[in-house]
Amino acid sequence: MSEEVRRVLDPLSPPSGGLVRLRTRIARDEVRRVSGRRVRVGLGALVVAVGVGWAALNRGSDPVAASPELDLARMSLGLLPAPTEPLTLPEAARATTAVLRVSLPTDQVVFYVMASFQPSGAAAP
Amino acid sequence: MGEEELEQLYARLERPLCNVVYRWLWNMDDAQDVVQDAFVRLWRMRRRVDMTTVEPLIYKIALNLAASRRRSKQVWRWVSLETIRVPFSGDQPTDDALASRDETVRLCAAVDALPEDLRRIIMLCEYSELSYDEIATLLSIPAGTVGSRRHRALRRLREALSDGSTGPRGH
Repeated sequence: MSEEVRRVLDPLSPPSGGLVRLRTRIARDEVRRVSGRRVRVGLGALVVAVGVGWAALNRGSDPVAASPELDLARMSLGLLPAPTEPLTLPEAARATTAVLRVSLPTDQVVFYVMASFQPSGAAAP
Repeated sequence: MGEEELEQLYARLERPLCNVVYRWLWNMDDAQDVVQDAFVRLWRMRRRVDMTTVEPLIYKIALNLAASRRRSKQVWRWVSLETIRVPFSGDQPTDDALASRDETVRLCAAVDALPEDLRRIIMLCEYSELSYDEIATLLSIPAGTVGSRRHRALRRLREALSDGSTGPRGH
């Protein structure tokens, strides 16, 4: 190897105190990463809270009640006579009213349960 | 890898790593900064590090960071050679100091003129204690290529220096 090439490749010494600076940098990096993780967790919680709030504020409107003649609760309390002839649901109540035929051991009796329900599936009282 | 192992590794490799990286940045403070950055990254991945291959790994990280930092200096080819720190004894640089600076710039320009792959080879061969096999694995090239590229790099360096007309060039 020529003298000039040797001079090009002549090893140099780095500034002193490198190890101390490295320790400081690692400690700073750890702090930054921990605080970054906290910020991410906080942001995640905020997003969830906003989502829950938004869902609560935009929840579907209450179901339209069936016509008063079909109020099962009042019927069961004897406050309302059972219908003696077929009734027609009002137009607005059709989308939120369900009728279920209850199977019984005899064909002599036909029993229906009828209820208003939330569009999400939860039955309204 | 524990903290103590990392510090021992740093104490052992700081100088050779700084010398390799210095040939990319031509500023020892920057070189040391890049080396420390490489160690911080190594510390972040400490749980996945295999201690038997940690040396080639740290060289690889440092070389990539050095190349990246060099690229980020948009006008490096002019700036880097103009900011080489040659200490002057007084306020006014003496003729000797100016001559020494010119000589340093010429030597650095010769290294800068080397293609990236040859520079990596010659610096790793010169300063790291890695074997040809380890360097080959690190650079993803056949082991036999390391020797031939080192030879070619030295030849180019000699030619550039004997030519005397080498100036700062990009790649």
